[in-house]
Amino acid sequence: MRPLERVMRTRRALAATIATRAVLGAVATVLLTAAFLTTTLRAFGVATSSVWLVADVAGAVALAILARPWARLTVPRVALWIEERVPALQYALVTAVDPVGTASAAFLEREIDQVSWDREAARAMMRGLRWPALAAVGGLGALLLSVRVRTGSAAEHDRAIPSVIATPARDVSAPFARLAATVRSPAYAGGQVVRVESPASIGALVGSTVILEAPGSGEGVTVDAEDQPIPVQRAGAAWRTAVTVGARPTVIRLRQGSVERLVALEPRPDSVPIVRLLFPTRDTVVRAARGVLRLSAEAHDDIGLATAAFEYIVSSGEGESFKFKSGTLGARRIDAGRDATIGASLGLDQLALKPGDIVHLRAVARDGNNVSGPGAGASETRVLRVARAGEYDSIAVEAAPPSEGDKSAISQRMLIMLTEALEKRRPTLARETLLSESRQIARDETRLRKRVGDIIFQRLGNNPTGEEGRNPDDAPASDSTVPASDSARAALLRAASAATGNRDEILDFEGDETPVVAINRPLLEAYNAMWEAGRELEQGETGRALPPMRRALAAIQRARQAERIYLRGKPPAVVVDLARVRLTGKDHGAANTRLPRRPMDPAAARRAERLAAAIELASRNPAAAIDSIVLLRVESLDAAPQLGAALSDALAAMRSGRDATASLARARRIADGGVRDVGGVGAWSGVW
Amino acid sequence: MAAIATLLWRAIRPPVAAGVDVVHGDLPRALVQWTVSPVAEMRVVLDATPDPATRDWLRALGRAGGSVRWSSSRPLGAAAVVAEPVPEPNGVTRVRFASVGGEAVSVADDAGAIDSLPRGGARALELGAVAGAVRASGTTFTATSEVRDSVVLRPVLVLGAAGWESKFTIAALEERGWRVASRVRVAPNVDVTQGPLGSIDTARYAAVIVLDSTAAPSSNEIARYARAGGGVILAGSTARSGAFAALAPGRVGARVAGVAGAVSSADPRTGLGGFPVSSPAANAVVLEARDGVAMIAARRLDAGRVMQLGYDETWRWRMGGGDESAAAHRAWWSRLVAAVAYAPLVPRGSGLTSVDEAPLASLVDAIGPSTPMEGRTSPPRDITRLDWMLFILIAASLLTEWTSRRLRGAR
Amino acid sequence: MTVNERTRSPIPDSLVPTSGEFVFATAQYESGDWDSAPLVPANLIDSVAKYTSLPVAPTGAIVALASDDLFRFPLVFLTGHLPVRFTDAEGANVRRFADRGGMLFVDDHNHDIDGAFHKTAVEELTRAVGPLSQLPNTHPIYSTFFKFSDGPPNTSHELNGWGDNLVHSHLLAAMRGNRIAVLYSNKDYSSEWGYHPDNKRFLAIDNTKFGVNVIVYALTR
Repeated sequence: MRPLERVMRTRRALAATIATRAVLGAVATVLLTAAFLTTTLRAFGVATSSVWLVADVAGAVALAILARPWARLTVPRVALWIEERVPALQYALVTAVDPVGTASAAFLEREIDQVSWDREAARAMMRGLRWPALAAVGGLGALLLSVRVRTGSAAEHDRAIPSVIATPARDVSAPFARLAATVRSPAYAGGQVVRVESPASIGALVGSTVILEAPGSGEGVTVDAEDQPIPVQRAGAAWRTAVTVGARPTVIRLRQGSVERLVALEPRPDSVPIVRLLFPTRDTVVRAARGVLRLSAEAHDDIGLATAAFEYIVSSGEGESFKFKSGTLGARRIDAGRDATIGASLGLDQLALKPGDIVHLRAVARDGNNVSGPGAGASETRVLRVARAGEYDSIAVEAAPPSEGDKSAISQRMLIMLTEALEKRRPTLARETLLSESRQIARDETRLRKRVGDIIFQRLGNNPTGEEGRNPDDAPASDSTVPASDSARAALLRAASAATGNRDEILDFEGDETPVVAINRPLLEAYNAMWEAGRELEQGETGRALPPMRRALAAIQRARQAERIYLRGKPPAVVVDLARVRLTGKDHGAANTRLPRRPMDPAAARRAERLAAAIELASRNPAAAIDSIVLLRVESLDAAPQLGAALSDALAAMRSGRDATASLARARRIADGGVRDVGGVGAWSGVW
Repeated sequence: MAAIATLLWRAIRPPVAAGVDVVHGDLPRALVQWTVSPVAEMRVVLDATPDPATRDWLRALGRAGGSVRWSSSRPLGAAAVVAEPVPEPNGVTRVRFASVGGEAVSVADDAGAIDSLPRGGARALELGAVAGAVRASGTTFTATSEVRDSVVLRPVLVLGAAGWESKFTIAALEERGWRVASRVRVAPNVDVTQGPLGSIDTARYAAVIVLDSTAAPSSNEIARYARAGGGVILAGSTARSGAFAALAPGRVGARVAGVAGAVSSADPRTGLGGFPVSSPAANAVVLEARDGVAMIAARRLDAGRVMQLGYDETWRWRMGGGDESAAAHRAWWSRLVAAVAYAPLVPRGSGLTSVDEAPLASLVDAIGPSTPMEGRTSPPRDITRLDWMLFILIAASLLTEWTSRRLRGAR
Repeated sequence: MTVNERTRSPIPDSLVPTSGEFVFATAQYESGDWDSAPLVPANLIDSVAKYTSLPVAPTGAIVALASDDLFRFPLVFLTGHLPVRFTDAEGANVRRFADRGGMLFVDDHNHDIDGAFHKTAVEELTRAVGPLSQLPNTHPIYSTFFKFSDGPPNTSHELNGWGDNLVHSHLLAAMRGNRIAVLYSNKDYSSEWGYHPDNKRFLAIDNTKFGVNVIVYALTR
């Protein structure tokens, strides 16, 4: 390569080095300027929105200055620069590249070819880049440091540790300028202590204790929360007051004279554990309840678990009669860990399950919250059912309705109630009134007795007409003499009497009692007892009627139990004939009044107004506006959490001196319930 | 060179004829001068619509014997804004603004920005609270409005049979803050009632909602109420019967079913069935239609307003619509009632307000429309922004040239 | 058959009632015998038709608690003997149902406060909707149509000592504002009302009147 070409190559490398140096220098200038200005302006509470503009201007100036040598990179200058670093050339290079001296060019080229200056040139270029590179790195570090600088805040690492937002000391009036807060989380959450200067808002678990203290005697200092005073105590050279974080957000007001300071307390609720049943994974039906069922579950809590276990309930029975037993297994104490896995085995043999039994299984975990809990979380429930023997030849078995006897039971109970009520009123009633009401009950008792008789007749002889079709509203016989004719009814009465042991007559089929009679014995007893009761009621003897009425009821109960037969098949779908039934009820309802519902959020409009007023105040008195927004935020945390969160962003911006316009506008839209875009101007206006 | 030439031309422009004063810049100073030393003809070249005080001053000068004419150095935006209370509980304010000619307009109040239209047009917004005055601003105008009145809201009367629709309609209005009186039929001669029940007139009720034909015996009374200024909503197929048919904005069409499952979609009312409004009256305004069929229409009837609401099972929206459906259902019913309610306005306070709801229209009203200027205008007495820009351009060019020479010389 | 446009699944005709009709709905839940009182719906429908002029569907409907169809029936009846354990979907649905304005009427078919239904149902309902507290016997539900001056009427099972051998003097309720969102009964109305409506003629006193009050309350409050 000819010397000129080699010099040109070196020239290009130098140009690149100058450009890189200029860029690094400019970057370093920008970063250092931004870091310096950010730190300085924050310290004086000035808005930092124009920091980058100023830094960019400084960087541009630096770039222009550092790039100046580019213009001086002529060939002779480069050759001279090489000669300075490689004395061996003895100015041969400068001569060789001089356009005038060409006579000894060939000789000089041979001399120059023997010397290499690449290494020296590279070393010199790297030295030139060293300081700008270091400055750029240093600038980046300084900027990162300045961004991370805060005045007295604690970052939130986990829920158990309180988080505190502080106010710069210069913003706080003199009596409370050195207010400090010591926040201790509840013992079950670890009892962590955080201390911070100049607190503005404290978020902590319910049950945490907050001690606010400041230097001074505390004379004239009053502290209250929601208008409830909190005592202030002297502690050496300082005063202090203690508050416990409750379940609702609140604002602590500290006052001395006309100076006021607000500290917001935001409770952080302790969530209940989340539990997942891993095994069994689904509900099961088993033919035979044998073997061991493996159980497995996992639990998680935000603070710490205390106990976990499996719970089961065994249901036995069918129809209207069920028995239950329950228990726990696999119980485990967990030493405040946030996650736990539990396992157990359920021996099905030990549960002594029978066909038709059902086992409900779930996992339950409790946390260690001994302040407002403990919180208990449960998994989904799995069901294990033991199949009934009859299920195998049918896809679905559905219970049929209960037998007809139930109607009698219901009515007899009502009659007893009515009679008891009448007996209670007896001393206050006139004889005529008592007799009239008692006879009404007697008529109902007769009607019911005839129903029971019909059932018995049907079963004994398939005679649906029962007692010869007598009208239940007719006056019954004045005494209990049996009809003279040897009718089925007479036989019925004799059987009833025999069944209740009232007569000495021998039943026709005594000793050879058919199953039908045996089954109907309770109903026969009921029939007889109802007859007795009716007789007493006719005479107005309500007190004497009650024992046979109760005997009748007991007998009917036994009849129900004896005859409970559930047939297979779907019950008939009952479709009500509305046209036939409509407004046929004898009773009528009564007109009544309704109480109005309360508005959903009556305070919403007021919150929107207060926020608008606070925003307007911000331009005139930022500190007062912050206080207003703090109060509004605390009130919104429960009623309007979205607004509370938006106000939190706005307060953070306002306290740190940043532009809060966007966050306040967003909060305002939320408080307004959103701005509803009606669209165009429209052809219909509802405004007068 | 071009900048220098422009500056020279501006400097040597000949003046207008004597006795005519043309102002481009400092209008307040000119107004004072014209008031002290009147001239025959005053011409104003505006680059933005003047504020009300300036406008009134120009009007006064015109009426004092001089002739005031104006033109504009650039097109002035025609815009308007009005803030008015909506007859709903919770103090809702409706802001309507419009801008003609494609000029961007942004709307704000004392608490900050509210909305904007980048290319002009018209829009109406409803806000929960407005702080101070509402301003609609563009490059060449600022229109201002304030809510100057409060509305007097009386209870709403709901009439119908007991059922989900009556239950949830009453619930929605009450939860929204309305006071509701109701009479709901459960059985013959058995009603569940609430609130002040008396004769149906505008002194007692802001609106009457009729949900079904159980209110038919009161139809004549309701018709009188509507004609006297009351607001009436006829829901479902109510408008078929008796005196209601004469009030309704249209006839009742055959019932249409809603799209199954659509109540939880973005357009929940497509999932509701109802009775469309067919053959709307000449003065009826269709407020809502779907698939070309009107479902809600309203019209003025003498002093009152009557709305025909085809939906008869809006409760399905509240129950089946999603987590926000209850709030949306409440707000929707409240707006329906607000659209017809009798709600007289009561002025708030008696202080002067700085309202300027349509600046350009007010300017034309004050001193007439814009007229192009004849003849040449006098040299500008004051340096305008254009002059400054030209100066900076020339100075920067000179500085750049000098710097370049210096740097070359240093090498 | 009607088809859900969103899911393309068929909707049984029984779940698409005529516009404006009240449909008595029974809740179907996973864990227990939700269908233990199949005659209650028909009996109460009969009573509503007998005493009121309210349009009512002639048969009841069955709706799964975990299904979106729950929101078509703002009053739902839930009963059973066995433990009640809501799945996550059922619990979430019940909460939304109550928040949006629905009313759940729950009755312990065991009539046993020591029984598994009562204990588990109260636990699940408290978790889903909120705590259940005693409803005063002067509450408007006792006078929305018929007057019950002494509070909830007693049932025959209570009087004859079934279950826990107690006569419960109060019902329990979870409220939303001043509205009942869940009405809970220990009195075994499921048995009391679990008979064919035609058999009502044999009764001196119609024992389903309180059911009419519950329905009228749900439709008007």
